[in-house]
Amino acid sequence: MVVDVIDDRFVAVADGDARPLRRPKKKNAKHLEAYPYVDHRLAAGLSNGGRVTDADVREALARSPAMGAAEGREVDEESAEGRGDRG
Amino acid sequence: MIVLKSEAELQRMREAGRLLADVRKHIERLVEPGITTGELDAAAEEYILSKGAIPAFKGYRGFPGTLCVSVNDEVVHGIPGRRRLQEGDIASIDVGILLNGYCSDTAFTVGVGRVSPKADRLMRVTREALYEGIGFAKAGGRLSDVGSAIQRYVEARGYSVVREYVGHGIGRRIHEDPQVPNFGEPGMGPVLEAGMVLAIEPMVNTGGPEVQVDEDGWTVRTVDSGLSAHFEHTVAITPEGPEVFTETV
Repeated sequence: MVVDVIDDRFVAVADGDARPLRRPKKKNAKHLEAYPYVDHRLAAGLSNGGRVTDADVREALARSPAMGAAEGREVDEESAEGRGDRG
Repeated sequence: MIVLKSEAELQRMREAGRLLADVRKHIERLVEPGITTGELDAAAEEYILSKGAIPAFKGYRGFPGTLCVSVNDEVVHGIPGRRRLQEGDIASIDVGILLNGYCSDTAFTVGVGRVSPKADRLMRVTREALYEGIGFAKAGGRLSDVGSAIQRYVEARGYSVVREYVGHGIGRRIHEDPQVPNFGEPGMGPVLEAGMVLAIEPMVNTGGPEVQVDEDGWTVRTVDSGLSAHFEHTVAITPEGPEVFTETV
């Protein structure tokens, strides 16, 4: 899940497990796919001064439906290339 | 990152939208008491393939259907199968296609036979809320103007909007940036520009906005078992205003 926005191009992603909040992975937003699903409980915690734990992130991923399970997950580079960037 | 579409791309998306409007009409005519959601799904798939398009949902993260068919208290992502639609049910049908490299996405809720006045009003208000939101999909406006208008319209009529599931940008991919919520304060988020294409899709409940996911990992339903309706169009922002690609002309 995206846990922070670093700048216009990069975001930080974490899964509360292999990628804990203290060591999130920096990802080019171009290589992520947005899903039409939002975890409001986690979003509220993140915007209120980061009172979110790795367990919270794991729980949020666990309760996310199949459609949202890959929220912020990186897509393979090949399909990301095909996405085009005319924005 | 929001991908702006060129005029050539918009033309392809217009074609994908026009075909999807036909698909929608085709499915809507088949809805009647006794038909199974799986039969609707098979008919939709056959129709889409016969026109040279590809169902966009089938296989998406493992989703098994061409359609999402969500009945009564189901909100979205119902898996088509052996369920037989009954007189008085309402069925929310969501369908996306890929045609010549570009996607379109639409949804509608339809009554099965005669439905209660309560169900009828919910469907009407949800459809009107979609058009209320579309009216704010204008260059120079802000993204949250769309969702804010939808929420205001819905809540003024005693219903609630679902928060967890949102609309989305659309183009070469079925889900692109930005997320398009159906709620919020106006004047926030990215400035809308000509060349953006959005799938705007209010999900409206008669009861509270809370939803949960079934054990199948897909079907989303209301927590309080209230009815839910869903309408969606693929809409381009043009210098002349919003252009609805998935509307029947």
